[in-house]
This record gives sequence, structure tokens and C-alpha cells, in this order.
Amino acid sequence: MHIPDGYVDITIAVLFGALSVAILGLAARRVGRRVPESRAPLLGVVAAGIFAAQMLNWPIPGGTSAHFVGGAFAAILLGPHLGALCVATVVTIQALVFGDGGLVVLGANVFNMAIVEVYVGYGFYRLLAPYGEYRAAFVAGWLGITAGALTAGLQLGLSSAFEYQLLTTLSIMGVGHLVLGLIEGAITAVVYRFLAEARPDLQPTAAAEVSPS
Amino acid sequence: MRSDVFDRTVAAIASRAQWFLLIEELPTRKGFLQAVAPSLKVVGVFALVVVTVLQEELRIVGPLVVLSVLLAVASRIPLRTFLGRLAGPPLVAAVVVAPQAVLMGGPQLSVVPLSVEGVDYVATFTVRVAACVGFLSLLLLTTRFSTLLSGFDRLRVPRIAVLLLAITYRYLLVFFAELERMVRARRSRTLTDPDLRRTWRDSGNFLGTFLLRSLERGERVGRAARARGGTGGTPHRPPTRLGRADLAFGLVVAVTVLGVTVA
Repeated sequence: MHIPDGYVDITIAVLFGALSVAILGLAARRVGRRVPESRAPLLGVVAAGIFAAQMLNWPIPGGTSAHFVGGAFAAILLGPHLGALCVATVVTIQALVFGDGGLVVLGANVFNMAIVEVYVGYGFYRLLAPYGEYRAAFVAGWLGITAGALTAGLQLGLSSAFEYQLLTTLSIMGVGHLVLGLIEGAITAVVYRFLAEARPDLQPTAAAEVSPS
Repeated sequence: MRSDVFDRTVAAIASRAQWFLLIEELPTRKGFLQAVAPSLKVVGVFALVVVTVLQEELRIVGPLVVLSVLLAVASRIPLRTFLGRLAGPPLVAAVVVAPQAVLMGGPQLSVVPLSVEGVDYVATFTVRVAACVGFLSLLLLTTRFSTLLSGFDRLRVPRIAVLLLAITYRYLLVFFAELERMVRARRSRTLTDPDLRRTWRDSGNFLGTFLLRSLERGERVGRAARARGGTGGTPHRPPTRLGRADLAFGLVVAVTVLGVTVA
């Protein structure tokens, strides 16, 4: 889902970059007045862990494999604001160390993967958790990544640099990830099941315990 | 864990780790961009990418790719490495926009059913992506990450953001090694390939254990940093005065921006 430079025009890149900065700034304020530096090690190390976790391949029928993205999972584990900051760090490292995605379009990629995916995923989790936590984790992973893909489709469709119509980009990104997202949902649910049994104190209601200030 | 999935995981980790070694080694070579101050290099590369993104003509984006290759040569980046980086994303871009060569209206090429405008669009789009990837690769391959962070510091990027990036970078190799160790240990305990259902359940436990270890390590690092009265931030070198390489790079960027604007 990483959009490289050259796909979206400068207006879209600047607009979504500014939105990302504003929303992450608000997230930082919601966590504390601003993110206290004492939380940086926890966030930074967990971000590195999520990045490494993305390397693990999961078998899917047909002989191919998929990997975990972890936006919704980070939100469930850390809470939405810390989750967004954590995934934003992962996306930035991917761009500035490994060249995944682009430089000018970094804000747009952060918006899709660290903001939309995280907050939409978390929203579905909170909404559905009373009806079953594992099912809620599944839907969070599934629809979180689909929502992120839809905003990527929106950015591409609105861009003058990309000749496909908005409806085309939304359909391709939306339908494609609605199917692929089932795998992300399933991974999120099985990992959540393990963590809920191994460390029940890590559930969102007890988030304060894992987020020392 | 199934053997093919195991192999793919190990290959993915190895590939990332190999890239790590490369981006730590190449910036230490004596080359043109390696001598440029990191803050100036970030601003200059950003300007070059912005200028590239704004272009819609092949006759302009083509020379920009050539410029990125020339800068790579001047910076003593092995051409094979640089061109290898340059090839992937444009190839994907070409596949993505290829249908436009048929879909776009206007006069057609004489022999094949492709429109002239469509072919021009596909070529321009692909070469533009190549130029952008080239400029970003120059930044990654000529700047150590800690130096890049000191450049961000100089550009007044919020300290907490720089700190987060520094800590994440520092722990990436640690976690890559830990994940690989865990995968190999699991592989050595697995005698037969389990069915898909069992593999998924085991992988869930496996990844859960790994993420739990990450979280607990994060908590430990945080506590240790607080106990020491710090946050584990990396001290940066103080900025030095601009030299000849900085002026030359500034001139290259200024001439490029001016040239592209006039053209």
C-alpha cells in the first residue's frame, strides 16, 4: 500500500501531509500534553517489533503467503493515539531506511497506514468488542486495512498525475483489500487471542498499565 | 511452521539485514554526496523530488533520471546497486499505467493499436517514478541514518519524532535477529509440516510471543532510561560550517530547479 513518489500530484501530497502532521500532533497531545520523552523508548521499541513482525510469512491456500501489517493491532495493544504514533514511526522508517514509499508522499502514506487504518480499526474494535472480542479484532484488522486502501485509492483517483478515474481507483483498491484484508483480520484475531490469554492485563481497558508516563 | 513459509521469512529478514549493512557501509565512502551536510542534502533531495513530481513531459523527466545516475557515480555508489534500486518501482509503475496506452484517446501509432498520447503518458509516468526513486536512493545510500537524524534535528523537526526514529532504528536489527532465532528454533522442533489450521494457530502463538517480548523489552528499556535520567536519545554531532561539496550540491539543485522551470 506504500505509494511511491510520482504517483500523486503535489497538491494531494501536501494536503495529506498537513493532515497527517495535524492529526499526529493531536494524538500526541491526547497522550499527554505532548508525548513525554519517557514514553519514547516504549513506543520506539514496539515500533521496531511491529516492523520485524511484518517479516513473518503466513501460509495461505494456493501455496502463496501473506504478511501482517499490524495497524489495527497496534491500536488495540497500545490505544489509538499511541498506536498511530507507533505505526507512523514504522512507515517513516520504511521510507527513510528502506525506500518503501516516497519522500514527498510520506505524509499521504502515513495518513493511510498510521491514521486511517489505526483509528478505523480501533473504532470497529470498540464498537464490536461487547459482542465478542476475537470477532471484533478480526473485523478491526479487516476493515482497518480496507479503509486505509480506500484512502490510498482516493488520493490516487483525485491526483492529476494518475490518469485513472476516482471510481476505478476506489474500486480496485477497495475490492482488492476487502479480500486481502480478510487475511489481516484473521492474523489480528489469532494474535489477539494469544495475547488476551497470555497477558489479559494488556487489553485496551488496561492500556494505562502498559503506557507508563 | 511449513518449510516454504519458513524459507520466505528467513529470506525476508536476510534481505532487510543485508540492506542495513549496505546503508551503513556506502555512506562511509569518500564521495560527492557523502561530503554534503545532511540538512542541506535533505532539503536539496526534497527539492529535486518536488521538481520531478511537477513534471509532465518526458523530455524533462528523462534528464532528471540521468542527473540522479550522475550523482550516484560522483558519490561512488556501485552502479549495479543503484540501478537495481532504480529498476523495481518504475517496472511496477509501468505495469500499473500500461492500460492507459490503449485507453487514452487521440491519434494512434501506425502499426499497433496504441494511442500516441497514451504511450507518451506511460513513458513519462514511468520515467518520473524512476527519477523520484533515484533521488530518494541517493539520500539513503549516501547518508548514515544517525547523520540523517542530525540533519532533521538541524531542520527543527520535533525532538520527540527524531527520538522515536532513532530508537526504532536502533532496535530493528535486534528484533530481526530475535525473530530469525525464534523461526529457526521453531523449525528445528518441527518434524512434519502441520496442516494449515494448525500452522495458523501456531503462528498466532508465535507472533503473539514475539510481540509480547517486544512490548516487555520496550517497557524495560523505558524503565532503564528513566532510571538513568535520560531517554536513550542519540547525541548528534554539532553542525559544521558549509564546505565546497555543500556549495556544489546547492548549485546543482539550484541549476536543476531553474533549468526545469525555464524549460
